[in-house]
Amino acid sequence: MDANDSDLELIQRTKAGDAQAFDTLMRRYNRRVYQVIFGLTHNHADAEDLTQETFIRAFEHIRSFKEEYRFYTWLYRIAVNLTFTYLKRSRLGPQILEHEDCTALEVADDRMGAINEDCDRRRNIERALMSLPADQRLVLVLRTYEQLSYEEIARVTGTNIGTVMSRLFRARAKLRTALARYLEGR
Amino acid sequence: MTCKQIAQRLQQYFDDELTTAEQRLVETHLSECPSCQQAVDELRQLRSLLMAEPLVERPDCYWSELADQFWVIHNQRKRMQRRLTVRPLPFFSTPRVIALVTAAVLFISIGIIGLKSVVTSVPSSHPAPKTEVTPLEKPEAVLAEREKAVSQETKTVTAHRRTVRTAEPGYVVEEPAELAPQTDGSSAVARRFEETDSQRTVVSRPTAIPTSSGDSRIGMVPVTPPFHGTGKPGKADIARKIPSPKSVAKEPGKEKTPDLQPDISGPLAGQKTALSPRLLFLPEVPDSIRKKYAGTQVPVRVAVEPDGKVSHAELAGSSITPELVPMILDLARRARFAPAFADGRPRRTTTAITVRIRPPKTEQD
Repeated sequence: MDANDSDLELIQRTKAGDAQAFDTLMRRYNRRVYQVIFGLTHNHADAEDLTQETFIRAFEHIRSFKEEYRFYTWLYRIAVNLTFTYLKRSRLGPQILEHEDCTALEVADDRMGAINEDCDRRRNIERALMSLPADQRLVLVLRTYEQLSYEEIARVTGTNIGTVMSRLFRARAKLRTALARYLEGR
Repeated sequence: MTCKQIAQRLQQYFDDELTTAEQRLVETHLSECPSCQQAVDELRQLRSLLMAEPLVERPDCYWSELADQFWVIHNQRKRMQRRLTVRPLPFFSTPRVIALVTAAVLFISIGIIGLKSVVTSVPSSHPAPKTEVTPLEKPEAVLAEREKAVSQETKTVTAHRRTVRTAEPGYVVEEPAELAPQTDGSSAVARRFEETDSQRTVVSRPTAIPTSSGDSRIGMVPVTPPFHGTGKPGKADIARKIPSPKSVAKEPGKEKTPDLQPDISGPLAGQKTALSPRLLFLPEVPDSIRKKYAGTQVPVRVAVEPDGKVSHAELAGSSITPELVPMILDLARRARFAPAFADGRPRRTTTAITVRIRPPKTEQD
């Protein structure tokens, strides 16, 4: 039984009223949903709340899930819609990035120098990601971190494959420019 | 294939989105074209850079706790939905009955208004009403009646306040402070404003309104300019209160001593009574927010409809954490109030509340 078949079995049991089945599904996917939402908001408090909201909606509307599709694309679609609605409503504007405070680290020995560098690189990668428009960032996260196919990304974002490819191309081009110094010599 | 044709397919090739035949064509070209090969290498480098660190780093126990918390939130929501469901009395749910009752109330109100206008236009040949007293006696009688009415109304208001929900939503709500009765028996001091449909009235604490028939009605007396400008009239002010020249002109037959007769027939007569809306319910604040913003106070102004729902909410202050704003406004919009009343009917009013976020239950004493 592969992963998708067991998802289907769990969904059918949830539709029949088995809350434990949904709990299993939720534990299976909550990290991935959180990751997608965090990729958009870059705020842990928001990601936590929106993740819970996603699963609450999924649980309430599980009967409307069409079993010919994959569960996680449906789940991601709920998560993405909720996140975009939240971002639009809150009008946060520039996102508040959550990252380590690299300046707090003191260079005590050679290892600390490397740690500082890693911290710096991570922060720059986060900044570069957050500088992308939300729709491009979403497509990049779904492709790079979630390994979704173009067709699955199109379903999650409610667009077509051409749009997905175009957004992915532009996102990668911007990141290549922003992170050029880390790409040299790799 | 040319470099231009290959360039359009490079991303798909990199993402394994090409058919097998297309893939072979691209690979053949790449083996002969260093610049196209370099483009693919750059994509590969970018991917390995992005994936070198996980996007989210959390310990394993975090995910199981997140899953556990889901059921807590889910159960809370279910409880909240059950509380918000109002079960109407079967009898009064019939639309015809509601229409009949509304028509009866309207008819009675129109009748009362009509009766009042007839009574106030009684010519001076009729004997003076019993409430007409000497200038020295009337103010004290009025004061005594009002003092009595204030204490009665205060008890009613206090009893009503006890029904307000206070248990465990994660916040404390401070409504406008109840006004203390004036010990000197003078009329009420204006403290807050309520917008009614057509006029802006200064609402004071309850006091008695003597009518021309001698009955006193307990209600909210607007403290309008004819009384004073300071907000705190004393006995002398009441004694001095005179009808405006316009009202005297409208009632030429009435023999009143302008300097000494309280203006019962003027702005005070027939004034609408209104209590403020009472908060019944406010949704719970998530624990994550309570942890982060414990102790924060957010003033909010809400418009409460006659059915107790909030139609509009806005911040009443400016220095508020932006992250909190949507959540607090959402909570305020989902709040439920017992509406303000005037003439026995619920009215649309605005009120201000201050939401103070309490720490999560485990951190509280």
